[in-house]
Amino acid sequence: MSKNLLEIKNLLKYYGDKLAVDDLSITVEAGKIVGLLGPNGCGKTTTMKIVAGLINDYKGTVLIEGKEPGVESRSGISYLPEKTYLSDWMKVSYAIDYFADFYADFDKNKAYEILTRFQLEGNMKLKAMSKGMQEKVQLILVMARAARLYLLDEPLSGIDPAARTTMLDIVLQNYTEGSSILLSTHLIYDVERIFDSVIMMGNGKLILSDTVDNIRETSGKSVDELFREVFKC
Amino acid sequence: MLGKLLKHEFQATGRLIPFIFAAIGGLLLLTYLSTLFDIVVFTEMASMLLFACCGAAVIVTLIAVISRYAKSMFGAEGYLTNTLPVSKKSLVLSKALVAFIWLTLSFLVVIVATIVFMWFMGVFNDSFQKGFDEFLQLAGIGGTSGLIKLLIFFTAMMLVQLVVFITQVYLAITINHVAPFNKLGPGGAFVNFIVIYIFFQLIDTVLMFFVPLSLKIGGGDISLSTQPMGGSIFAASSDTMPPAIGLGSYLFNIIGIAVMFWLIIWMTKKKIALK
Repeated sequence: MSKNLLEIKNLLKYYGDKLAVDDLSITVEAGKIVGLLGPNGCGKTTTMKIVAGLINDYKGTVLIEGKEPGVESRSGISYLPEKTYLSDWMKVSYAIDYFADFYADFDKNKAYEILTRFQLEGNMKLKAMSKGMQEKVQLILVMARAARLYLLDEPLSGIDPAARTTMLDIVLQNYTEGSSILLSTHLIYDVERIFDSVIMMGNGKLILSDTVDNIRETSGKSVDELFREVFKC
Repeated sequence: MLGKLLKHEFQATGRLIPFIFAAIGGLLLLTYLSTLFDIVVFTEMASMLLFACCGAAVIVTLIAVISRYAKSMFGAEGYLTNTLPVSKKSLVLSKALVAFIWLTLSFLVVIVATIVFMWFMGVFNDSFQKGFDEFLQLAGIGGTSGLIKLLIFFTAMMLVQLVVFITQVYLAITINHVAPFNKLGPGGAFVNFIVIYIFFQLIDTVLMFFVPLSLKIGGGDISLSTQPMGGSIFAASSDTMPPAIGLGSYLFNIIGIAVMFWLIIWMTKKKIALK
């Protein structure tokens, strides 16, 4: 059996006449943390949404553990979108119960443990929370699952710089051994330390896919430095 | 999983609707007390509020279930809903079932409230009974047995119409999120609904009049007949051909529900790109 958890071949996605993802072919190995990097509008979010099963009108092949996006793949994927998807009327405890109801791999105790670390409480209403706090709740829900593949779309964008380290620690401490993380971001400096490899995208196309060690060795630069060089305006 | 989906769907939609039902109950009690103590001003005020509340119950329920479908499937919450490890069929079915239950309940509450109100007002007296009996005779329904049959038929027809309506609304909203219709904005769903509704009404009318299957009313009873409804209407007199209600549209509605439901599932599976 292939050790690739995620395989994307010749992926094409149009929004009307606009090409959002252009013949993208990438793989994510099991047990790796992969950075999906690129400037805004380069197709990162679209790619993640296709893998998560939110976009269905694409061309090409997308396989998660050998299966196309569907009910089965969704049970093994823990997806954090860049949007706030929890309803305002929900309490944190309700959101936890909701996840526990639908995901067999969701650990309620772990969710409450992480909540406490962030000084959040179960009886808090999402309506009363700031956007940053809501994003923390969402990340906690996503990381309290023992999923096979974590898709984290810009998990740090709404988080204040002081909390970013804690958030990354939560990601690192809670993702299941043998599972993979595909994390998209443009805040590379903050997250570079956790990546095993990176995939760089520009205008919907694959620009680079390599391990972080190889990048440092061959270019003599950090991923952040290389990114700034590649996407210099 | 359908059970869990239903549970959460009820929780999401049931935050406001039960309070309106409770308000109707409270106003009925107020009306009863005011009639009991013969306080006319209170009776008038409570009656007006009661009917406003009855109208609000249906409208609020309608808005709640329609906006719930749109938001939870295609809004920001869709990112959660559509990534749940459940089939699209279960997702849509759970929403449609909950919408159907809430809407049926709201109609039922309004009907019961109206009957109770009429009872408080002393409408159900001897002259009402006499008038009602005369109406049954005139319509050819006859006695209680015919009336019960007719009530069952109309209740079933109303329930099917309600499911047709919910499915039409869901289909209109779903189409509005499929390219190229997604460029039309929120108003597009309304236009889609009007088009679907008119299309349905046209076919409904034709089938109701010309399919030779109907419910014949006459001779003090109601029975199935192969007489088309159009025949009874255009007959020279009601003696030569008694009135009938065409059942062709009924059957079409049931097939229509299945086709629209399939279309919704297919589009949510294959054609939707969540913004």
